[in-house]
Amino acid sequence: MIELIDLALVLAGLALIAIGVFYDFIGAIGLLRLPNFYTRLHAATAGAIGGAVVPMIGAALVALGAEYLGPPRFFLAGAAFASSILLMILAQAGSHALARAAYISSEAVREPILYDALREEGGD
Amino acid sequence: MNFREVVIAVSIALMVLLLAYVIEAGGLGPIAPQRLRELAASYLLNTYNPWNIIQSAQSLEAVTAIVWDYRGIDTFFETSVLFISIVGVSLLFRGYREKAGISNRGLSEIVKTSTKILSPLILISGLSIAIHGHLTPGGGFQGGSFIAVLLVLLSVVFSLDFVVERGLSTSRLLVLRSLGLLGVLATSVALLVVGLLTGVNAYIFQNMVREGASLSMPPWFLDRPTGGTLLFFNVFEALAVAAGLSLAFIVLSLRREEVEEALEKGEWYE
Repeated sequence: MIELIDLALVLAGLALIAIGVFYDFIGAIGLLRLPNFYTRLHAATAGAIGGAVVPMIGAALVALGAEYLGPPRFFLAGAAFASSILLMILAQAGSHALARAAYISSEAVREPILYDALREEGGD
Repeated sequence: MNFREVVIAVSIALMVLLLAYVIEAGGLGPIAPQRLRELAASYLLNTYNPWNIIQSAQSLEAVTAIVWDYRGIDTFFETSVLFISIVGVSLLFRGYREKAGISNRGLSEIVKTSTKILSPLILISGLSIAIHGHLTPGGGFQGGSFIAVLLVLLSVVFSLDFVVERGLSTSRLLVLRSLGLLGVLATSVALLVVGLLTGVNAYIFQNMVREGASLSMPPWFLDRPTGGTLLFFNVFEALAVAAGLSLAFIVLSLRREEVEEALEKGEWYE
């Protein structure tokens, strides 16, 4: 029974890591191909959340399931889980601050643009 | 993407792969030497050695033991160099006083909320790195830099007024910095003073019992190892570094109104 749970944990973790690889790939392509600063920032943030937070949770699950690592595996899992949560708080705040600064200072090209909610509110 | 870029990318990838293969096959010699040199072996043997306290620092972390015990005077002068550079910065910007009410409102609500969640964590991890300097990698300088990063983050996200209103003005930071350095100085001569008062032999930067000097800092606090002087050194160094680095940051983030005022005052000095 314990072996089955371990196997399930490892498999779930590996699946999350695979999802992370997918997001990183998409983020890299988007960073190269998307037209302006804001969309590229979106791709980079997708790479940070999907490509770093998700695989870190996966690494935590793999560490929990890897019996042969002994008691240190709980430290590994805890550290990976805590840093994934911290990164989830930080990555979005950083992207938000960058995008807001670029918008307010008008440093980045805004075209192509469909709808500008901030302009209707009057800037800020 | 033209042919030239493809060739460059492929050749860089090939170079990395081949270098990795060569290092893996041992072509550049062993990555880390297999046997320790005698000096390293003696330090590793003696940093925590309760059977040979005469040569031991009673610290579980060899690097901290070497930095603050075996070559403590060297590290003291390193700290003084940083202090002198801070003094140089404040001398260069003499007449500088941060003005209230001219800084902006800080970044948006989202960034402020994330910073509010994170700042206690940064403070606690900085303090933990500093206080556990004799147990785990890290120490006073690293922990102090953590806390300085926290102050920089607060002054960027919440504006400089937020930091200054909470009592961390440049003059008070300079006082804190000097207090930290004085604490380091007091710790280094503490046993010497006690030795002079009681008429026993003692050295400066003495930590544990040494040949012909029977005084010693307490190596244990209750059931926890303290590394004798190392705990005090790390805490005071963290205070000094945190105050000094954030002082330098605040002074270097000059605003225009402050420059004009500082220039006026600077002319008085001449």
